[in-house]
Amino acid sequence: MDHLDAEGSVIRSGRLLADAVLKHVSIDRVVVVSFSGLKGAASSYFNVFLRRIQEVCGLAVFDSVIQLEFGTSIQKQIFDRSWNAMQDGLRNSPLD
Amino acid sequence: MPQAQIDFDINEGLSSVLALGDQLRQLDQARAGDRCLIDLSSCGHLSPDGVSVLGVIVLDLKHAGVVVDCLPPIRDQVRQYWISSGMEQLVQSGVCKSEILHSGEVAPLQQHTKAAFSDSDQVVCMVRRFIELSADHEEYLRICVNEVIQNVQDHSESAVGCVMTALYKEGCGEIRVAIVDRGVGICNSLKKRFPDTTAVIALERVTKGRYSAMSRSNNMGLGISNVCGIVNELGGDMLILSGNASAEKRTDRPWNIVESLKSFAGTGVFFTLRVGS
Repeated sequence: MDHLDAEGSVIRSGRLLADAVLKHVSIDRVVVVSFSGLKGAASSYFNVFLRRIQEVCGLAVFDSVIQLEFGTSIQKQIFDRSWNAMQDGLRNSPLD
Repeated sequence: MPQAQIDFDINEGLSSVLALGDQLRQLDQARAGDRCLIDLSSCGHLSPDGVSVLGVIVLDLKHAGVVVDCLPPIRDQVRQYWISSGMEQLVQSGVCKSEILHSGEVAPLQQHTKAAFSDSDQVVCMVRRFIELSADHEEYLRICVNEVIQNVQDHSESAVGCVMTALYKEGCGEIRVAIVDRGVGICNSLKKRFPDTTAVIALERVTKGRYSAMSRSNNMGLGISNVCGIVNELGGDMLILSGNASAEKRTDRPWNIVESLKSFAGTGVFFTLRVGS
């Protein structure tokens, strides 16, 4: 099932996906999220998705309840950079 | 009547864009109800970089209620690009109606005020008219375009958003993409969160990544540095102009980030990607 904003907004689409995942996530069930077929997802899309998940259940349990599948290696790279930045907590302290 | 005389070639790259921006600065004094004139009749060459700068300034002037008159280029080839890039229509009607013009190696001017996945569609379609774009190259191209436009939406405060145009160079399999806004500039945006920011430091920070004005909750300071990484990986060129600084990356060379004597009103991001064989 696609979770894309009707107008194609990157930010709203990230939020929609996160909310859909959160609806199904539980401690004894893994939710599979596939990004294959999604083209041109910029960092903000993954940032919004991750931040929403973080707000509701934290990122500590992420790997155990959410399984991600990527369409291309560059898509995974962009996600990984968002993930790392999120983990480093940019909001509270400037890096470097 | 404020007027700008563009009687030189507008190539790709720093010096041409700065020279153009400098000439167009004469129009800053125009106010609502005024007429102004841009004279390109002696212009001998136009590039995507130049067209995007001209395009966003014309939009901005029209948005402010200024009547913009234009003497288009006379030379055949330049005149042809003037039309196919959408500039003629933009001057006449004040809007980018890209669907009418969409043909050839030019992705005509498009105005973007909100970031959407589809922002990169036109550029991808244009390249596909010439080559079978691989899934990876398509993704690289889409991400670069979408990252820049998302940045404009999040940080620029540009009343007219940004304009984008692109040109595919069949001979070398390269695409040149130009995206320009008329916003507050990267330095002013970053200063809100990092008061020590200067124009040069701002560009050093955004090209390196992990510095963000955090204008919105989706910001992590990754957008421009993601574009830089892709351009670097594909061996392309990139130029960022914002306020009083420029950042230039040429294939196999480190970033050259310097203060410029001429200030650029807004931010321009121009990059070349090799997408063909």
